[in-house]
Amino acid sequence: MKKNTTENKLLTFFSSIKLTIFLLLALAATSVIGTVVEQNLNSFEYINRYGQSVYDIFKLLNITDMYHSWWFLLLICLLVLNIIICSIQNLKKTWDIIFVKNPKFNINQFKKYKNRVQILSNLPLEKLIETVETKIIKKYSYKKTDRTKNGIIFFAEKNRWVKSGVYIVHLGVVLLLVGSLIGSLFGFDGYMNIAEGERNNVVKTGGSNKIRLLDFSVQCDKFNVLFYDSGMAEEYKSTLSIIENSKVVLKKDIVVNSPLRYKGINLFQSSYGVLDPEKIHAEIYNRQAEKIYEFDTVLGKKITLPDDMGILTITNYHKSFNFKGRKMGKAFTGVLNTADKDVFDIVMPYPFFEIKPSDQADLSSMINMLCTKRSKAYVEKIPVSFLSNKTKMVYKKIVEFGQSVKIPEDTGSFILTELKKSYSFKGHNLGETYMGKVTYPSGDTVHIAIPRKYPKFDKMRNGKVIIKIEDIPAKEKEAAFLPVISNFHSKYYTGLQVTKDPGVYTVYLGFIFIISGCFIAFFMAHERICIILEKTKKQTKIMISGKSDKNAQGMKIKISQFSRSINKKR
Amino acid sequence: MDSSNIFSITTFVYGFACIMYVVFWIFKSKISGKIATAVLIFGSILNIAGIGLRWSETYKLGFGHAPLSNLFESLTFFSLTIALLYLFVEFKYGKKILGVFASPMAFLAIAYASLGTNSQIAPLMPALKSNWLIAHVLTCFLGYAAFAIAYGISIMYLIKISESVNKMSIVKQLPDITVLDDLTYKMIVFGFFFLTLGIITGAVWANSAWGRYWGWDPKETWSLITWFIYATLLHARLIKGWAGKKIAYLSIFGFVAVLFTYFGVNYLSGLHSYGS
Ligand code: HEM
Repeated sequence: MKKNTTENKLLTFFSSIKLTIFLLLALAATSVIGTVVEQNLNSFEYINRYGQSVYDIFKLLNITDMYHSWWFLLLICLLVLNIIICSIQNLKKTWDIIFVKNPKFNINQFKKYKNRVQILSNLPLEKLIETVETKIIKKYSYKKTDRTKNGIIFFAEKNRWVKSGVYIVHLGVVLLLVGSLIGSLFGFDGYMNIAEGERNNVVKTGGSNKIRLLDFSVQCDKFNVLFYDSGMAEEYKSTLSIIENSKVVLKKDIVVNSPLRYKGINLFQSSYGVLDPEKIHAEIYNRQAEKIYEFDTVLGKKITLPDDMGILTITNYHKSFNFKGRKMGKAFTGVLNTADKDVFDIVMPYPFFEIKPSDQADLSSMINMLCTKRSKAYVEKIPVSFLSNKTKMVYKKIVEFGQSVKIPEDTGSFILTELKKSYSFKGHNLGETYMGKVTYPSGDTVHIAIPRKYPKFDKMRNGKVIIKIEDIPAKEKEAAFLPVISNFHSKYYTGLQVTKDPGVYTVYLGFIFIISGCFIAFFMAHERICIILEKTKKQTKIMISGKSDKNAQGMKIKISQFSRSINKKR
Repeated sequence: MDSSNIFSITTFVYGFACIMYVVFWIFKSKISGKIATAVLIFGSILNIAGIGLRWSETYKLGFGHAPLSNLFESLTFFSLTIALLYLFVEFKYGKKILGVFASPMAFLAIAYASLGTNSQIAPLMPALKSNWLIAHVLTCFLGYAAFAIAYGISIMYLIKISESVNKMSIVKQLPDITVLDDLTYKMIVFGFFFLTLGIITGAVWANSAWGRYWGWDPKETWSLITWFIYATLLHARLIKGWAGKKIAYLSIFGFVAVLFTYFGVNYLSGLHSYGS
């Protein structure tokens, strides 16, 4: 007997089924957390949802990535240890059962089994022996016969190895976990986006923006999406080439569920996108000349329009454009600099409705809607009036931005600094606002704001001089042209999931072990039978008995079948 | 006549089978027991016909996929697996009374499909286009069905041992507690095997579609939680010799996890699409 050393205590602890039950239930219970608290979001998201103090607890316990936290991994490691130690301890016993050369059979035990059958037969002993040998014990892998004084005893056994089923399952579980460990140590999981016609070997991995270089380049020759009539995506397909030493070594179409595998790296179709368009074909309609011009351009290119219409630059492409609170879908935006130095911001929806020159009124309102004239305040001369608080005299002056002007009555100087797009006053947005600065002879300065909408705003300040913008620049001018994008071509890019997992084979082997082990352990049974034939005066006494590990019911049926088939004449 | 009509009829037939099982139980009427079984068989045939017809309908619509692609279709299939597995148990073990608890689950599943879910046939989204879909759904639902029946038997067990009712004659009618205990265990072994196979086929599929066999997606995680619970049950029984009440409670607990894996997870976010 072993002594009760610490070592032994530890072994008992690690092989105990109590630990197994605790670990399995603990894994089940803690796994729930990760399905309720969404994993791997950024910290703002958590603070937003749960508050700072809860987030601190999450961080402390690694709840935000709990399946990789130390305590979850610890539970798994303990389970592995538990399985291994438990299996090793039981293995010896099972080994002896499975690999014994001459299994022992105890007749007395067989005589006690409930499902035993005893009959008397009129058939001769030899005939019975023959039937048993040819019809019954043939199906058993191990058989043994013992002659007795007036009869014979058969023992037979099969599926002794079924006892190994649980070890196969447990080995499978261990392989599975080892495989996943290999994967997390030596593998990676990332993504790469490749535009049509281009190649890349940079994989972005993990949330921390790490990158990894592949030993080869991946080129996307073509990308295609098919849609069902309902608009749902039917299939994404990328034609990829693997390029090594500037040679194409492999070419394959990949779709979801059918990846490309090369040198241990797997490339999966996972997303796609559209790049900014190139080759934009546009038309511009000149309202005055009633002419349409066509031209090709690309984003950012300055196009000098004919008829002195100015310079058009299409600057941006928007997949879904919000215009004056309405969703417009695809649209381009751009800038038109006219010959007389007006600047228009232009929205070009795509696709555009056809232009009908007859519909002049509609067209006109459309142009006004889509072309917004930019304020030219920066270049204009602004009429400003100064009201002296002392004398109540009003003086008018033309002021340019950045230019210092003397304020009459020796009150100091004024400078108009800028026109702000918006100005917030006591929480209200007052819109476009002129900003300026008054410098008194004493050297004191006062900052001044005059919203366009409220020219008398400066009155409130009640200063020595009240400044007012006299005349807001004239009403916005209408654009004379309407550029329309008639078509454009833009490239797709394919989004590939790139993974490497050298542990996957071990995991799969684990799967095979687990499932075949379960099959063996659950659905197959170790069977032992004993048949005793014994001559009495006139007849032969037959006893059939047997035991099956799992399938007692089945054994009972089997034994009654055996008894019938033995006793048959033929 | 389209498949939805057949499923509606199937619902009624299953409902009728439930009633006949209850009549058999309460009035000990042999004839209604026979009718119950016959009706349940008829219901499963209709159920199969419905699934077959729906399969052909997907071809007519030009999609052509096994009808296992959304909650409605999975429920009709779940209902069929429960009915067939129960019939198998009935023929094998000859305990018709189990039908009182098993047939309502087949009925509820298909009734929920008809009333509570969208039965429209939709094309498959790209990620579902795989032969693994069939293997995965088939094995998972065989597992779920076995757990459902185990759950029914566990409830019977608890009724049978409850002191307040066990003197009532209809409770006395229920099979012996050792039989119930044994059958619960058998069903769970069967279910555990198929759940294991279901998780494995799912993992292999995920690996072939997304490049990873496991991603801790809520549905994956919940199926693993379920698996842990039933693994606990198996070990507790085999090694610690737990039986009876404890096993019945664990079996019920496990089935709650199954239900959550199936329905509850839809309220969490994830990849599995049966929610919508
Ligand atoms: C996730 C982990 C585990 C899984 C999936 C698993 C699975 C199984 C399966 C399928 C069986 C066969 C049941 C049968 O024969 O019908 C089994 C039996 C057994 N398991 Fe585990 N097991 C796990 C962990 C453990 C651990 C940690 C121990 C350590 C104590 C353990 C000890 C045993 C023993 C001793 C048996 C034999 C029971 C018997 O046939 O008497 N298992 N296990």
